[in-house]
Amino acid sequence: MTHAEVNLDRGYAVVALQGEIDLYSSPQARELILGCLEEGRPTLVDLSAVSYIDSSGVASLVEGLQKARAGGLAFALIGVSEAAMKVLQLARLDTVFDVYSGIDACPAVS
Amino acid sequence: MTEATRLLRIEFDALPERLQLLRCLLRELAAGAGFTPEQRDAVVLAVNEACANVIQHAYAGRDPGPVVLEAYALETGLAFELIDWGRGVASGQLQPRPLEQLRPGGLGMHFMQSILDGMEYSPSPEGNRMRMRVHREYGQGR
Repeated sequence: MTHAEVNLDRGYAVVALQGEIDLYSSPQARELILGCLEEGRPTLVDLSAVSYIDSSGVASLVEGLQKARAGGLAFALIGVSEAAMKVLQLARLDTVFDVYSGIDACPAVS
Repeated sequence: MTEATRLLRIEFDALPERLQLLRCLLRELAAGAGFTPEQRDAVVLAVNEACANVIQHAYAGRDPGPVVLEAYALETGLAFELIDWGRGVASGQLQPRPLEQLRPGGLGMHFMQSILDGMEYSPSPEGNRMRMRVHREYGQGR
């Protein structure tokens, strides 16, 4: 089952995660997110199709944020599903990430 | 826990790919025990984190060993017992970290402590046991 894929859109790498992101699937998500950032791309993580995310999935997002900050790259979450937002709120991370409704709402890449 | 009715006993190998099936069972279990959808999601998250901890740490560096999850009906909610025969941890290692620190790891224990009403861990060569309780009033004004 594919849990993640990457598309390039408007200067961003968009990592779209799908389904249940847990200890089994989060390594793939992590690899894709960090891979985009290692290539120097501003990166968005689309969580609209995420029905479940656990601490390992959230850790992949935090790792991405840290790497983006270190590299001076834009990093944001888009279309965060209700299920994912509840977990981010529980982790008190909902205000730590830049969150947008979709790519149309994101700042243009300079 | 002896007076409580056992609803489930499942033994599985300590592999990450087992978690999805476990969550399916937990969702049904929590729904059947009268938890609301929001409470049910929280229960699933907390017990998933406990299982993931065992998968990640108890059998680290060796072949995945057996894990047993038992669920019990309480008048007020559900109780769980998670047993593994891997490496036990000192109770001090089960403390959640301060959330002010932005770092990837250590959130699972915070989720468990936030959601569960009780959590007791007892390491033993006869099996490390994590006992967890969660009541139906979770999320209603807490």
